[in-house]
Amino acid sequence: MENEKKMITLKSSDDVTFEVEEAVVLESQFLSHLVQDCPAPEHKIKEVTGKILSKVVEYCEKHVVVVVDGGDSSSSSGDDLKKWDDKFIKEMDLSTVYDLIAAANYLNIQALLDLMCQRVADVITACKDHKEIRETLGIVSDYTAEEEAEVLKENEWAFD
Amino acid sequence: MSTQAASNFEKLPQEDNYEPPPSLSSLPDDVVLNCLSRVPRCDDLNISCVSKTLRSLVRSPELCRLRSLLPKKSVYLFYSFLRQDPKKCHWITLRRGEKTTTTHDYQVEHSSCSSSGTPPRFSRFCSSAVSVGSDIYFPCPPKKLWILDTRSGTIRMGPSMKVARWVHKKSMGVVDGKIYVIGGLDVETQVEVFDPKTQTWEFAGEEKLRCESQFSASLEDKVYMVQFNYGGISAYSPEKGISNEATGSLSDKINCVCVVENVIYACVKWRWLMWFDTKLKVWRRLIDSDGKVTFCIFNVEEMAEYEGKLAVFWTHINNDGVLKTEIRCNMIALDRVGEEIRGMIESSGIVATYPHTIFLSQCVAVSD
Repeated sequence: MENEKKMITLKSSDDVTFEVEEAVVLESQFLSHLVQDCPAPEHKIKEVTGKILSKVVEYCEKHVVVVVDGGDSSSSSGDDLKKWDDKFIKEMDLSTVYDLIAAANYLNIQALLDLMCQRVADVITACKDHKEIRETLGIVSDYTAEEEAEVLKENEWAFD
Repeated sequence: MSTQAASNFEKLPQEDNYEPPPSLSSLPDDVVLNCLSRVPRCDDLNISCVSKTLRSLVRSPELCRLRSLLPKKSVYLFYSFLRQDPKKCHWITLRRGEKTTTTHDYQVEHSSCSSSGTPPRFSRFCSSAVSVGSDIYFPCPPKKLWILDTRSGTIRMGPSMKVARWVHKKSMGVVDGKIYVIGGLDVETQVEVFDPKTQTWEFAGEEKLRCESQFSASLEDKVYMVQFNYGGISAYSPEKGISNEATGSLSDKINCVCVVENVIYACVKWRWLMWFDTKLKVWRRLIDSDGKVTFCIFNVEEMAEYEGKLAVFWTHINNDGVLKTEIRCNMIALDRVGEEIRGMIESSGIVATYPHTIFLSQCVAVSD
């Protein structure tokens, strides 16, 4: 139709604005519905902070560009994207990962959600025991001391 | 980007005294399940010690379901050859690894193992193995069950099945982490189920519809049974029993069947790759990336899912002076476009070469 790319402004909970192409917004099912249903130039996303929204935008922009450029989605662009994803998640601390998971879940960006869940899974896998999992992932045990002793005993038995 | 990463690290949880530390527990259950489904099963016990909430998630059937949907991580291709030691079992494994190159995103390992008895003699043109976790199960008619532990690379004999079954007429599949073996009997269709956790067989009921399909595939909590001739399909679900899904409409016999990302694929002898549309209950032809219905492939002997792609294998005998058998592999990337699935050969190559004739016998994808 027209060559002019449609731009959309996203505003975070703390009023940081991001101007992005419509194609970038379409990566998120939630946002694409929002944009279709109310064609305002600016959309406020109350649930996501500027810091996290910048990550979301960074991810979506990268993934849109690769799909468009690749055309036939050649394997090299797929590989590059994978490398980019790896770098993207490695640079993040866990609290950002959790926030980004919550954002991807809310905005319904399945690929980003899966990527972030994989990161959490890798962290869990790297832990040597349940104590380390608790510490690293910030989980408070809801076992009583007796229950925990019992579960540990059961597992010891299973390991034999 | 590096400055942002640095500032993130300054805010590590232990320095946050004024707000609760970030926690996995703050995320909704379905997201936590998504994370857990990506952790190898061997860590399940550790995770269940962390908290009651996590324990109940680890034990939930939903986790089993999610794991079965994840792309399989490695492919085990079994083969045999003339005059081999009858107590040995040979296979190659394709998996992602350090030696992965840009042309092939897998590396190949050669393995074999010995057993105290005679390990499974696989017959071609039928499904004879399924994987649950890191174990591969071979229910071998009449009653034996062989189990290959892929972690240790050892094969052992499991508890015997309750009913003797014919090789070419039994079907099997995995639903909710349990292995169902169906049919392969002369008269009635007795179903039995093996629970890998308790290592026991139990009867799961008797079915009125007779079943003698050579190929089977597990999908959406059902075992799909595919007939060698023309691809007639019936489905077994533990709740609803057997139902007929489609009559055989393919032009020829089937060479092999597998599931990739929740779709059943079949290779029709010397012809094409087909996929089964479970909604419309019809076989459809895989088309190439230009949308043409010409996706034709060599005589694929075995195939399996590899990282969301279709890995197809066949042997090629090379006899220019010295006899060599090559195992060749094409990796086909699959893309759903509307009502169609398009395939694109992403890489093509020789995965192994042998100085004698070999026979491919079975191919299984394993997820951890």
